[in-house]
Amino acid sequence: MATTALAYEQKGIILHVENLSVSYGDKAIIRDINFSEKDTVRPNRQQGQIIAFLGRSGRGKSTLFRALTGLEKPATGRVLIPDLSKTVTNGQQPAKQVQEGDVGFVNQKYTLFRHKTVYNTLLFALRKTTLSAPEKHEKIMQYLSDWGLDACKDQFPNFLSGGQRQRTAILEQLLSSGHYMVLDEPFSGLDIGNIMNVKKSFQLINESHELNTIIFSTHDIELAVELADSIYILGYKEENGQLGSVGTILKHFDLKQMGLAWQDCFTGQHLECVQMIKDLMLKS
Amino acid sequence: MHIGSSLALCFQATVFSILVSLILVYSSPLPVLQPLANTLSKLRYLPLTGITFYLAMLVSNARTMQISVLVIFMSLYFITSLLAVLKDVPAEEIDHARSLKCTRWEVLWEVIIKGRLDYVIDVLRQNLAMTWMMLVTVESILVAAGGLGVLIKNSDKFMNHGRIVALQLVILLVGLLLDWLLRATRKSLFKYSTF
Repeated sequence: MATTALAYEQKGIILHVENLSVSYGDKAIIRDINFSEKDTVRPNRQQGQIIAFLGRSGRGKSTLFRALTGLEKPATGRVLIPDLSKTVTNGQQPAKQVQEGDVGFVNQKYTLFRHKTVYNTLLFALRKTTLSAPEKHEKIMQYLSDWGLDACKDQFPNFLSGGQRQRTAILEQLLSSGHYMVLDEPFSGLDIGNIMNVKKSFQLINESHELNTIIFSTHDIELAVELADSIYILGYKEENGQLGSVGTILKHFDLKQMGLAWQDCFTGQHLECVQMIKDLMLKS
Repeated sequence: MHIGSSLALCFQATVFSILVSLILVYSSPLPVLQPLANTLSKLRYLPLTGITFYLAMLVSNARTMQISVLVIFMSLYFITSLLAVLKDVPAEEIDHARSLKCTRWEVLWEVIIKGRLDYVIDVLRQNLAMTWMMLVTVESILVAAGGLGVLIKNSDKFMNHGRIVALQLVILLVGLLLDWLLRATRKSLFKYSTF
């Protein structure tokens, strides 16, 4: 069955990465990372962006994610996001360099404060907002209800199930950071039920604001092709017939342009894309 | 009365030593204080006799002497155990706090202090066993201030073995009670503590 490309329009840049390199001591981990993502708008639909990073182990995905979230200082280059606190000038939203906390970061372990209940975790995430205490309470209760966490609002992370913990970690970062969310291998080691839960969380985030942008990494290529509207392949480049040792972006698959994004079913064209990605990854 | 005296001594020494140790350990990420904390941790191999000799030149009051010896002894062990707790805080927890826009003080407060208070109580519980054992020795060095150690020393002097065994049992039971109390305190105050 062939896919039909769905209509969309691209607006301003929401993420711009320029000449990014990160080194630990003398060892370069990633180098020359350049990409831009734009705000994608679909007619009669509120929808954010889902960007996937694929690559074999040790190619620098986690390091890139730490740099994207401002947790790692790059050796060169910069990561820019729109500065929404400033007004638009000449039709352009001023940009700012990403700082710690601008981009939410959820690691593989879904780390939470071990001494805070789910409710207090979310309250803490909202501490820097200008909302009043009743407004914060109302917002938290609404999110807890939407995300199916109201029954465990007074529980500590140690007593949450894997799925509840994931949703709390994602929600916490969403409330704290605003529109951007980076998830490092969110599907790693999950059973099918929890994979469905994370997919549902992606959908909830994606549909709640057009600027909401999810960036994730995974080793499940089919899942990445199914969920993302943009895929970047990270790997080692071949230099003088030999494989290098520094991660960089090898290829970008714009699934919107390819007519593969936002489809209800997985088609032969999706599988072709999966095969292309596999071949590329094997050579990197 | 003697049990009360020993407990009071133990309590006073514990409060002082935990305060000193916590301040030092929580400040140890500062480059200036890190070598000091590590050196103090290594000094736990210093014999008590060596410490009492120097302390005797500085302190004249028997009770103060007892407290000082115990505070020094306990602090060296507390510092060692607390440094291990600090070292075991996963980097992901620090990153998690940073990703929530926490300042350095907030990271210290939320992750290191509040997030590890139950570990501090457990460190206290584990080290208290050694302190409780030391208490008898410290009290028997300085007889004038009384306590269970003095009773044991006197019984030993008159070869009253039955009394020694009875006192040992009392010391064991009070120690076990303290251990149970601290464990119960941790479990009730820190519901999230699962170890």
